[in-house]
Amino acid sequence: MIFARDLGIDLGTANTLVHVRNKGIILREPSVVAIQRGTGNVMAVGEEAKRMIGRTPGNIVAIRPLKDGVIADFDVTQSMLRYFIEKAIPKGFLVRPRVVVGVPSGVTAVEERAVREAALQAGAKEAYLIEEPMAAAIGAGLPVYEPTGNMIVDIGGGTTEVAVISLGGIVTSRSIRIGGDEMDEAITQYIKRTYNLMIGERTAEEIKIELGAAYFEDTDEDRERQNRTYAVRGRDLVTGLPKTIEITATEVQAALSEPVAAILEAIKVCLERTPPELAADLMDRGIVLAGGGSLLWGLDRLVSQETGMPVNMAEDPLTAVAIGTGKVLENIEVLKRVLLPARRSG
Amino acid sequence: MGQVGEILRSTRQEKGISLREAEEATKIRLKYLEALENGTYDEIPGRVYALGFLRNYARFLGLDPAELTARFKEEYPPKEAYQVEESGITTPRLTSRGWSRWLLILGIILVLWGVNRLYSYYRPSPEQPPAPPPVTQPAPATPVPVTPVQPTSPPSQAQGVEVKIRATGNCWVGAVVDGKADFSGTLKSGDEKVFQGQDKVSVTLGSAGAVEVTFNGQVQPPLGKAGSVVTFEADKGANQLRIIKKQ
Repeated sequence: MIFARDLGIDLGTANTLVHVRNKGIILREPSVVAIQRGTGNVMAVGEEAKRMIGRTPGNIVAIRPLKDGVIADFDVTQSMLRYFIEKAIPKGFLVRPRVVVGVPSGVTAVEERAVREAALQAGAKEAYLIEEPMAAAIGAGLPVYEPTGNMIVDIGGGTTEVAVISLGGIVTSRSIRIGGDEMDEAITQYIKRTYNLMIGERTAEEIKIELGAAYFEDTDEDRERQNRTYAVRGRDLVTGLPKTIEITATEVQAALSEPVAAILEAIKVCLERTPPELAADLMDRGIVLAGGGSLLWGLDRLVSQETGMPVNMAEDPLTAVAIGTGKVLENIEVLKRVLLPARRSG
Repeated sequence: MGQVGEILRSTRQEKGISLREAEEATKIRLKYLEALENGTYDEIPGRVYALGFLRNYARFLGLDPAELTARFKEEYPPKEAYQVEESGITTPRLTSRGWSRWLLILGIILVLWGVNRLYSYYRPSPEQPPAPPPVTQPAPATPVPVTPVQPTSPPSQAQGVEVKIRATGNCWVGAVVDGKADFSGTLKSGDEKVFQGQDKVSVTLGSAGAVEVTFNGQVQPPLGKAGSVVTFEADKGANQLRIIKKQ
């Protein structure tokens, strides 16, 4: 179809994904915008802007307009959304797209309105919002319409969403503002405390991806992972000079224990609140993990051990929410009732 | 009996693990483990769960989860999701809406095309050259040859009609160029008047013997005696003048 190019957008703290109907995910870029200080001109968006983080001269700031899964800087988010929508749909298109945006389940009415406005301002014809755990569940392919319980845990960049879904609706949910960013922060703090070394956000993220783990078992694979080391470069806080240190996977595991514990806690709280009938279903089927944070080594096994339930990973955890928004657009007539209704506020 | 199930069962038996022990370790319900081994995947409540269970079970057994899931996907291709009962109602409605949308677009295109045609039809077109194709001449109702046929060359000027009138005595002249009255007045002896038109120049002379008429550069024989009133037309593409009225 040339005319109807509907967009599903996973407006994440770390990455923004755009799904075009019948085409799949066509854009996956970091949610970063580089702007010129003073004039406020947008200099770069996405990948290009991310490379500028922490390396900008005084007159340029690279910022992440979304914090903790919500819009922290409305204007910048808007220009970022417009950039992504324009990139997804070449200029000169007559028909404006319908857009479905995934938002955290704990959003306030004000934040909800901010996202909706941003999408409409960015050139959408209609903007629908969907709660991220619902989008993730649909994207992971869970049978959300059946009268049985499904539990989805979506660990994103800024938030972790835990939700029990049945009959197309969210029964209980819990949203905590801990996600991949929090893990990076924990690693940064740990290295600062133990080695007096300052490292940047990007380095911390690399360490998390290379070494990060939640849990080790006594298997060959795990032992190999546990023995890995990583050379970290940063600035020594005492001498002020650049310095390289070696860090082991076990140390990183210890550093990450705090955010991981918070995620476990959220899952347990959500389970406690689940009605017993659904809890029995969950016991049977288990928990599905989605989101980039779920790729943390051993996290699925740790959750399984702590809850005594089987834990399954979504097939493509990073894109589950975006695929979910896309599926909603494809079946918008059927799935309309999973979307958040437009609330009139004043 | 699926291939994947076969592999799972034989590996488990080789290792001497009972299903109950596997249930304990993987936290996957015994009936689902059995379903995996027997290849009766429909007993598992969804494809995602089947895949997840398989991955966990394979890892528990020390098999390569990626290889097994790939095989499983071949054996058990994905079904279209969301074929819920509502879709039976929505699908035809969606298609009919799609049709009407296409029809609407087609209609708009037709209307635009029509408007364009009408516009170009009515608009005077100055940029077009003045009708290059030869115009077929309507046969005159009463063709009156002025003179016996004389050797004539084809009209030298392709565009337009030029009639020059030079007076040898006093003569009233009225001219209509391309259907519009152009000149009306008396020429004195020695006066000259040139009429240039696109298609047709029609001239009435008050005293045909007192003028000399040149048509497209060719001097015409006298049209009448002094004092006789003559009306003639000069057509584009013609070699001779056409006398309309002679008194």
